[in-house]
Amino acid sequence: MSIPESDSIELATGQLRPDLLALQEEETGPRREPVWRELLRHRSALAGLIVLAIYFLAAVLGPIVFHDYNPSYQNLNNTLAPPSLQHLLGTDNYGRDELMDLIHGARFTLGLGVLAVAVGIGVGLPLGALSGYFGSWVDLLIQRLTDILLAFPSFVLALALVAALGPGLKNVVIAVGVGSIPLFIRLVRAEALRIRELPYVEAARALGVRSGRVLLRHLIPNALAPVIVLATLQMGLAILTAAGLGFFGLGVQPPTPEWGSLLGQGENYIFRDANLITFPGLCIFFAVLAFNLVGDGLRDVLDPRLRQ
Amino acid sequence: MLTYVVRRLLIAIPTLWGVVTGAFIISRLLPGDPARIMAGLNATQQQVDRLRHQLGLDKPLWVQYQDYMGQLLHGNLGFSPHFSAPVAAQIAQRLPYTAELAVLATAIAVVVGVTIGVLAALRRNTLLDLILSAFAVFGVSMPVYWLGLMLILIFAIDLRALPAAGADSPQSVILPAVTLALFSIGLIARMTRASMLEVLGQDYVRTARAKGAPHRRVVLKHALRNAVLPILTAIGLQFGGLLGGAVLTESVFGWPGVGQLLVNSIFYRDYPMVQGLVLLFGVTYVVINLLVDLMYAYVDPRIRFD
Repeated sequence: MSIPESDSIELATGQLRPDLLALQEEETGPRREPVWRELLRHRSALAGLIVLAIYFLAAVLGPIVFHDYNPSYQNLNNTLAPPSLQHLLGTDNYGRDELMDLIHGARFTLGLGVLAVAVGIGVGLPLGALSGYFGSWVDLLIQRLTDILLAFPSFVLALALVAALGPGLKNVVIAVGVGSIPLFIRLVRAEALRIRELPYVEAARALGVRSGRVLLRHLIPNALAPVIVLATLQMGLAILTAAGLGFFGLGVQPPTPEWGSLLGQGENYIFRDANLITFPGLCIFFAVLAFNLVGDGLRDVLDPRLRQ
Repeated sequence: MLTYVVRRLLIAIPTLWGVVTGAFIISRLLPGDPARIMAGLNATQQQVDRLRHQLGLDKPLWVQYQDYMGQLLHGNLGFSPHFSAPVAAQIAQRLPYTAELAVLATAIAVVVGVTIGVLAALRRNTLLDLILSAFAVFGVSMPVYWLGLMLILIFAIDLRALPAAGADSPQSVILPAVTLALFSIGLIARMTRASMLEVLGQDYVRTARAKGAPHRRVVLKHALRNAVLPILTAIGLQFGGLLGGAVLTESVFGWPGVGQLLVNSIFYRDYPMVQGLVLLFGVTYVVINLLVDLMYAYVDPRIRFD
């Protein structure tokens, strides 16, 4: 289809020109059923969504329902107790209820993943869009910065940053988030390079729409689909990294029952009580698995090239 | 090809400079006073000041940076206060252990990962595909530190079949290598499956089949060879995960490599050592990616003429 010659995308009647609408359809494909409905039909994605829903409920409702449980309360007369009706998963080395710790820890571990990815998107998306849309020295500068950030293995980068910044929730979010910034820059840049050549962006530019508006109204919204996929997959990785820092005692500090630090504490009792490492590890594993399954599902649904 | 190699090498230079500078910045951001830590708790203020002067830590940051770059060009990574030894010597002592672990894990990952990916693609949408694909996604979702502990629990504590920690016997490397390989197996298997599926649908594969080429030949010569580029990408990509994973795996298994050294140095606040190791990890990753890129050009001639 050729690029329309007229510089107006609206007809005199106020309706959008059908040839331009067709162009946009060529890009996005014919209107399909809503993404969420397709996602619910994707079996593995549905399984991931169910796990995430359970975790989300634990994170939100857990502290409300079990508000009388205090994770920093210790009962040294009842340490490393085996599972019982009173303590379904037993107790830890401080006599704290393992199940309660895990429920109270859900919001920290999941929150770390979500916030770290938010840092990655918050910095990576605008930089990637600028880099791809403007090109020239802006692109060169941002790309060299990306290369340098990508040069460090993400866990090593997070470890070094958290060592420099010190432990704690906010610093872990920054340390883990920085590692995902270059991935979002790369992705959004590639999308921006593609989208800026599309007829509707050319049309907008020909109409004299300013660059900022083109970026915000046309480019970024149309680049969001792959960003959502990457964000979902990155959340799994961010949880793995953040929990890894917690495992070393460099992440969120006890008595905050973050799953990684619970696992790290459990390591000291591996010979006496295997439950203390089994359950926090399973919680982390299923969280990462769920984000990966949903991310794969979203990619299948949103990326028409992979659809069969 | 030569032009491509030279151009690719030139692009790596600013990245390497960035890595070197990044390691310097991170080590200067670390909390605490390195001179005080090196001098020890009993040292007088005078002794600490003298040490600070000897180390050049009283100079402006820019001068320290110049000194650091100058020393680096002479192959000097600095002096570790914790080990009372040159950083480079300590790293050289530990590096063979990490190399052994990484090479073994990569070998396991490539063999198992590619096999799983090819089988899953050939038996697409069957029970076998479902099982293999599930295994692959489990692999990329598994926390290595947890997997390591579970393997210790099963194979070292319950079955008493393999050593739990250290590097004293030849069998010691088995559990850490398997632990480290699992993430890479998952990544390579997923990439191989996707890439094989794409290639198997191509006209030339259909043509080869129509000509009556044996199944084995079609899969290995026509399909796998053309699917190899994304698989190479996966192998390059997994290396970053592998280096990060090595830090965790070595700590869990008490494997005396550079990963464990990095974690210990952070706890000892051994700044020169942290700086040297961050540099090592960054440079290794850059060099590996450079090699992967050069391998692309070797495998796919379109790239070197682009």
